Amino acid sequence: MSRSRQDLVRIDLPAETDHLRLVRLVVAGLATGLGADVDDLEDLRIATGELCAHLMDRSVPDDRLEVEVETTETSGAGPSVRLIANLRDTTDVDVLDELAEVVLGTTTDQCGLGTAPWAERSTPGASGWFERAVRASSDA
Amino acid sequence: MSEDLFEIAVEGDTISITGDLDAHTAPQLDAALDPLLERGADPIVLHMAGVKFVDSSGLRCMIRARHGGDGERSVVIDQPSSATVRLLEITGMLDQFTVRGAQ
Repeated sequence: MSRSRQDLVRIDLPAETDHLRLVRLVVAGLATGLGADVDDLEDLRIATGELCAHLMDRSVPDDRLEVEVETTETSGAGPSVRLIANLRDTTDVDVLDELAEVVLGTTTDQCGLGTAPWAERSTPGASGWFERAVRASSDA
Repeated sequence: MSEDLFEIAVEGDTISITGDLDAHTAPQLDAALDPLLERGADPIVLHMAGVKFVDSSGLRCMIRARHGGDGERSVVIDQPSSATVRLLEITGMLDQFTVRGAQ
């Protein structure tokens, strides 16, 4: 696969929901740099909050959430945002409930729990991921 | 972090919400809803002009306002942001609420 990595941000924070806003802000900031429009940004903020909240809600006490946000550009396609969130100590995060599945499925191009398809290695703990293309007309 | 920017004010059967309505702050809206559901308020008005972000936790509160307690009631979503309307649309919940004055 031909791709150039454009930006990568890693955040390591307590797995507590009062930090959700911070993660959403980081993702929105990176997406803004790609030229994301309002709809892209809203979808990315919603997806980020949904996935991270699901993991945080199921984390063991004192766990930490590591979030890796990557902006990529695959040849032939536009830029996209990829996010992997990984709980360090928690091993079981259950399945997404119906509402969360609808929200994530609608606001991302692909998403799931477990190891991301593009991850170079699996990490210990429980993970979730999504990818969302930015369809904004940054080069228009 | 979200908590510092989140406020709820209740006046009669109207709840005014300011800030991000997410997994961290949604329990505060649930707590504000409890007495309204107990006394059978209908309709319940959620004034959401100050809400710039809602996730499924917030949406669950809105669904609870509609269907919680003793049966169904009318819920008016007053002045929702485009983000709130979008969440209602993508989840197929828009027709569950009366939307008034979308921004």
